Amino acid sequence: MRPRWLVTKDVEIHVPDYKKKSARKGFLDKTIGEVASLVKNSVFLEEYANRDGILQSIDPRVKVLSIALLLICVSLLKHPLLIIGLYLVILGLAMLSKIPPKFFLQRVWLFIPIFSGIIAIPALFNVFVPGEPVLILVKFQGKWSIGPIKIPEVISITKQGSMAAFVFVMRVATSVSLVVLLVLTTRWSYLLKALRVFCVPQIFTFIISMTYRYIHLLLRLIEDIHLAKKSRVIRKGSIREGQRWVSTQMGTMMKRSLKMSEDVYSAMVSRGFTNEVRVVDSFKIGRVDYLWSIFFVLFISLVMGLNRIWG
Amino acid sequence: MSMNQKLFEVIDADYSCLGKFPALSGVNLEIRARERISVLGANGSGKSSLLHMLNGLVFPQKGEVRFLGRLLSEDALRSEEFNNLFRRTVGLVFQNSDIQLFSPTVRDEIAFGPIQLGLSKAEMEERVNDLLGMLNIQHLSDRPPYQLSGGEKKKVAIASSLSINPDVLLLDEPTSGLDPKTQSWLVDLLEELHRAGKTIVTATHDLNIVDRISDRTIVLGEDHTIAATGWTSEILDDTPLLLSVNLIHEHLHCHDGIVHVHEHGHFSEHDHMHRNKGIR
Repeated sequence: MRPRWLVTKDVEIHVPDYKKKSARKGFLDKTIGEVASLVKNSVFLEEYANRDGILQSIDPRVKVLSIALLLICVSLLKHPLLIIGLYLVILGLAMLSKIPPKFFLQRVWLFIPIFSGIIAIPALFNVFVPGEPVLILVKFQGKWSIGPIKIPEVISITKQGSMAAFVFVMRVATSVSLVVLLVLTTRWSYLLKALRVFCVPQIFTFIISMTYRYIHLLLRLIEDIHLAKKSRVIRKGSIREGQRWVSTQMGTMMKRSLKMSEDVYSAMVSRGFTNEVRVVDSFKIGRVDYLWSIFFVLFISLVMGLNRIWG
Repeated sequence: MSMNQKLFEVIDADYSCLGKFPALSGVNLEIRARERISVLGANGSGKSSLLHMLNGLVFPQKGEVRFLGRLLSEDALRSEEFNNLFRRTVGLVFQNSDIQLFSPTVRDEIAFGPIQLGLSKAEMEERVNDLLGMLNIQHLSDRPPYQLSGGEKKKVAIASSLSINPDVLLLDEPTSGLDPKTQSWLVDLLEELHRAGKTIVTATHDLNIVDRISDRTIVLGEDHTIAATGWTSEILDDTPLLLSVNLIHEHLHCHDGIVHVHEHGHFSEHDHMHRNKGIR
């Protein structure tokens, strides 16, 4: 028997007048939307990995190995010109791999000032790196010290210090560029499989690849739950209510993901999984890879040779 | 597998989820090789639990399940030899494709079973390519499963179970959420697989497909017991039975100026009986 109130509608729908107000998104909308789009865009899009550029056509194992060697090479380079040269080569590679330069530069340089810039700042001053002054900042009368650090009479930015900071920042930028380039031009699943050249245990890459796959599903679930709530909410709730809702949802998601992990495990068992990971990769080394390897070895030898001569 | 060989035997099995929510109670049944069986039941009647039990994923708290005469238990499946034989012989297509598709790409997904069962790389690749071709999903081979549509996911899920080449295929609500064209494609596929000698057990509440995909039907009641087993045609004609397990319902409505009651369920609206003809 259906309740009477459900099947009768005696109130006419009256649309109230409303003034156009600038719609402001609540913190929930913003957070959920931003997190979902960030993860989707940065991890799942694989837009650049699917383009037919130079790095995309190289076997992922060869690529991972090359990038790893270049990373070691960057940390060994002493001469700033060599680092700049290598950085320019990487920029060239990014362009040959059809990655828009602006996008690539933004990806790398947005974080460099925050992470390495702050660390490099002290090196500029003669307090930490003594040397020829370029710019005098403060002059004191007499020497004094704070604990073990002796403060000189003149505090200045030194030539050696600036150079050390510059080399440090460039090294970080070059290394970050290399990794970003690798991640942008390689599909995530291939990248994980390629890690096996470094004897990364299969169970490790297998778990990461599954985590990656289910993050996508859980993100979609969170978005759907949020939309479902939104469609039923009539009045605007307070921030406090929003926070309470988030905390209960976190608990629910935890339970759901646990249940899901049990189900996924049984789906694996059903197809013969016996807690021992077996993965077959279908990578094939082709002519491009041999050519790349030859050029790469020559290039690395040249860079390291110059490093020896100039250093 | 010879015709009429007894594959599964479920004897007086009780199973409850988490030990407190009953899912199956006092279930007795037999499944023979090359049979086509439907497991019918309303939502929550225990169809999925029964298939999971037949797939050795859950085990009855009381009673037992036998596979080819051998007790199917957690202990038995610990034996590598038996586990390999069982997993090679019995495949399950899960109701929720998102659960079943956990690999990074469609190709990896289909290859998962053969690799676990120790097939050679060449054999595995042949199977993957054949299935991609048979299901017409070659273009999806390098896509991650989460990017696919519902119908595509179901096809990949079926391919990933078929790649093991199981003799027994268990399907849990295979047509739910599929569009009519994909549904009829699936029914054709199941008919073809049966002709190829496979045993097919389908859990469903879609009465429209039951007579095409099964010869024998097991009906689960809402009390989680077996309400009836019999030939599919007989079960479908047994309206009181279908009403009692809540698979169809009596519907009071009016058309052509006649108010009447009839059962809603499997037959199209044109064929239905006007039992209370003439009531106005």
